[in-house]
Amino acid sequence: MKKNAQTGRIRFYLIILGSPLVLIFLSIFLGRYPISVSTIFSLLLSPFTGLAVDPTDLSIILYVRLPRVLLGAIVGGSLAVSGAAFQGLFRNPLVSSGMLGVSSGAGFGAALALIVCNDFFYVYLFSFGFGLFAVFLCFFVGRMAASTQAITLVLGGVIVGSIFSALISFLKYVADPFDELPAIVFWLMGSLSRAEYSQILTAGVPITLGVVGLMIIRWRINVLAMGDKEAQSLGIKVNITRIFIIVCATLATAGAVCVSGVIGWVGLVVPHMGRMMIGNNNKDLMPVTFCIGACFLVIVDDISRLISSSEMPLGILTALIGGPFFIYLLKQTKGREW
Amino acid sequence: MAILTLKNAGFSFGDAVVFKDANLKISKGETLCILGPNGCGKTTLIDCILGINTLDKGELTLDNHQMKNLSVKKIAQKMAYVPQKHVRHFSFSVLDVLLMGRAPYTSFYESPKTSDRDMACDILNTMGLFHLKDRDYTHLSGGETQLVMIMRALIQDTPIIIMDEPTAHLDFKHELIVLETIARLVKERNLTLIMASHFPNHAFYLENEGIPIQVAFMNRQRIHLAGTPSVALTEENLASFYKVKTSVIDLKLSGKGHIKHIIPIQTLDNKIGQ
Amino acid sequence: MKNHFFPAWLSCLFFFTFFSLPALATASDPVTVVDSTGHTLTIEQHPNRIACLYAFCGHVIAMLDRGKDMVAIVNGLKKDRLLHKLIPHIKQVPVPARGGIISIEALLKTKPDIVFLKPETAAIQAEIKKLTRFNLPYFVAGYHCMEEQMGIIEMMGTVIGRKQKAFAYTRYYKSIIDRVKKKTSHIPENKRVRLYHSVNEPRRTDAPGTIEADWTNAAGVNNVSVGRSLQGKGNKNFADIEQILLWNPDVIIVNEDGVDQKILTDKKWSSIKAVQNTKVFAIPVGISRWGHPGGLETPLAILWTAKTVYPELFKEMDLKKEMVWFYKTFFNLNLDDDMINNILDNKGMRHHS
Repeated sequence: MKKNAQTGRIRFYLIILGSPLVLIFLSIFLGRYPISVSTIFSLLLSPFTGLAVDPTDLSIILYVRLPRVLLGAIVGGSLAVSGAAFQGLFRNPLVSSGMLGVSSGAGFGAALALIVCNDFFYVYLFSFGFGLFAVFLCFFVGRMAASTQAITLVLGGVIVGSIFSALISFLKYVADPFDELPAIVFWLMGSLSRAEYSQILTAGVPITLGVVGLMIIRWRINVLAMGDKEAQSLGIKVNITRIFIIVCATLATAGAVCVSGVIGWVGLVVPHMGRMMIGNNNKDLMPVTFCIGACFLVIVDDISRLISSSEMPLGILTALIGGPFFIYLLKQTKGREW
Repeated sequence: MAILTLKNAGFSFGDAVVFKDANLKISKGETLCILGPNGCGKTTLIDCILGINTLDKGELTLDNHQMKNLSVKKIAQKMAYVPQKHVRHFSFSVLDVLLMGRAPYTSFYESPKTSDRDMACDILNTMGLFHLKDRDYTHLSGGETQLVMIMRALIQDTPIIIMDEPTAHLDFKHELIVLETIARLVKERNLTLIMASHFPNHAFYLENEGIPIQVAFMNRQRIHLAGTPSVALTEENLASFYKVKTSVIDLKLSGKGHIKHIIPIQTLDNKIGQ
Repeated sequence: MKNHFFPAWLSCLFFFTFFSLPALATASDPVTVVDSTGHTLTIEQHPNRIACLYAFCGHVIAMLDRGKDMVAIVNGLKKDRLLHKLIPHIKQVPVPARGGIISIEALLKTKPDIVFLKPETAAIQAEIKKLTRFNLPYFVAGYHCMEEQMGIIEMMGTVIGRKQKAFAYTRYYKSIIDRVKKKTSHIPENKRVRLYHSVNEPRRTDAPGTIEADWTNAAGVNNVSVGRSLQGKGNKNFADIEQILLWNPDVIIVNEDGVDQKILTDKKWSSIKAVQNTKVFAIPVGISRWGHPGGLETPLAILWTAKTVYPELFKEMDLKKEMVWFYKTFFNLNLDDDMINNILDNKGMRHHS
């Protein structure tokens, strides 16, 4: 009996952890440019077979589809994990980096850096800095009316989020319509169309730092969910742990925002898919959420690439999928599970 | 040999003094029952003992160490805490919640090991609650939740357990189940227990069970160590402390020995809050 | 006004001379042009398959008789009635870019020999990189004044093998500017008609440093809005109504059907000189709105504006004759009287979406 449960568990983990890899592989076959399946296989095997390949086909697979799909998986996973971390940290299943204003803060930072200096390092630094600033702001707005933390935190997020949206609109207003505005608009719609290996590397550093940090500390997020007082009596340095988690989650979010723009809903909805599948224990939830997030964004981006010849912004698709799913979730749980 | 002492301790929130000149001394294996009306600052005192609040004045010694020199983790290896009412945010399984009691022994990058799981299962077994192991703890009754909290404190494997009104919000039977469990565990494990309560009968209950217990009265910024319940909870003291006229009865029950109990008769003034 | 314009004028001249020189090479040799971003494009042979990711370029290519060879376009071009006539299958032509973001796979699928881009897209390195990775030749068609626009048209003509017609067009363009200048240059700055140009919406108008500022200036008027900083919204510029009242223009020209009526009847605008003298005119609309930054009828817009504000100076100039010649020569369209009147009445040939 126990052994059966054990193997079932292992099988579940293999499926969940393996699915992003399978999806990444399958997504290489999808795109507007017609390349047959057999061509792709011979292309992938060409280093061994030594057969000549069409350079355009090779470039499309190697430099267009593969980096894009990989970036999508990384971005989706990191957005989802940071969402799950924020939910656990604030003991509030309604928050995510989007809800806490981290995304709009990071988006504002990126837009500001684009106007001020247009250098990738500063784009990253500013989006991280303002993302962090936004989440602390939210937290303090939530603290001001300490009564029922859950609702005031969401309220704080709404306030901070709309302040940063206004600031973004302001930047759009003052931006040079030809040089700066298109880049800013791109940021705010969310797209993976500019994926490059170099981006995977540059965004990969903060994302890896953030995600690995969250994975390391993931079990402690459980303990924090018991409340500050109980967590401290259980030997957790509450403030330091909280700051560590916020910094990691913001690093992961800002890294994702820098390369893909602001993609909403992933951080809110995907952790709930994970909660439905595996439960709330962050020890299991965090890795599972990363994998679901990776699959989710890869699939959404596949749809975006295939649905029309000019790509649909990812933010539109994630909202169209995420919104109804969230309604379903509310109906299913009547809000009780949380 | 005192395991925990409070010397000339004082604490205030800004200008509002919660308590001052508090002196307490608790020996290993002894129980301290802090009595006082609602709002007298029992929870604040407990937070000071737990290290969540830092004393303004005086000093707190835990197992011969100055509290302020101990890390949060070290403190958690010496004192476990059972909250008055646990607020549940996420539906964890009972086992997950119990395992959190192992946090003081887990470094920041680890999660509980198999040996920790075995320990949790053992405690569930000895408590006769193994059937709860995989249950969603947000679906437990108040009494079951409180038992889970107590088990989490046991798993923390500390010489001291601190309970803040552990039977508040419980019904008649569950209150007794929790008290019985506390009494049994204290005896079996030679635990030092610090318990805040606003029911003086809880002190008598533990004394009746043969547990070495002292009573401390807390009111109007003062904490007064008053000795065993039999000495402290006299009709005169209760009248002056609670402004309630009582009768302390002493029943002799076969098999149980002497049972002392306070029967409230009437209030001496009808003021609410003192 | 003069201070502002002198350097802009100079840079236009510089741009023109600098960039149009290479375009004079003969067509059979490899052709080298430098686009508005300074990027050098060398073409061994004239392209067969043309991707137009900029509506303006689509119009230029249609004018230069290569509309049928467009294999990729932008959505805006599908709404154009003239292009419908020239390219019946235009509805089926793929649209591999939206909002300045290129879908590279969809673009590659159309197998273009050259890609024409708008400056907004080219401003983003990542978009350019999508093209260079696949060695797709591209040309960025950015301009801020008439000289630059003409330079772009000439270079595009050179690239697609229609140099003759492109230069014929720009020669006509320049001749119009000269004709109007000759008649209006003697008018002193303070005697020039003060003109307000409404773009699509009443309060949307021309910003300094744009081609609209340039061509209205060429028409010999004092465009009230171009010396000011305006409220920007996207790449649109709006003037405050109080600012417009302060400008108090003598003439208002509008390019959107119905806006002239709106201005004439709106109480807020009633005290403006142009409204009181009912000098609010709708700009003709042909293939596109005359004088629109991405349109090709700017020479006609200059003529019309000059004739409208200085009727006595251009008495002998027959606008209808000019129109017939223009549309026949450059777009192979034979205008009848009805069409001429439609154009002049702001009804146009535009396909309203």
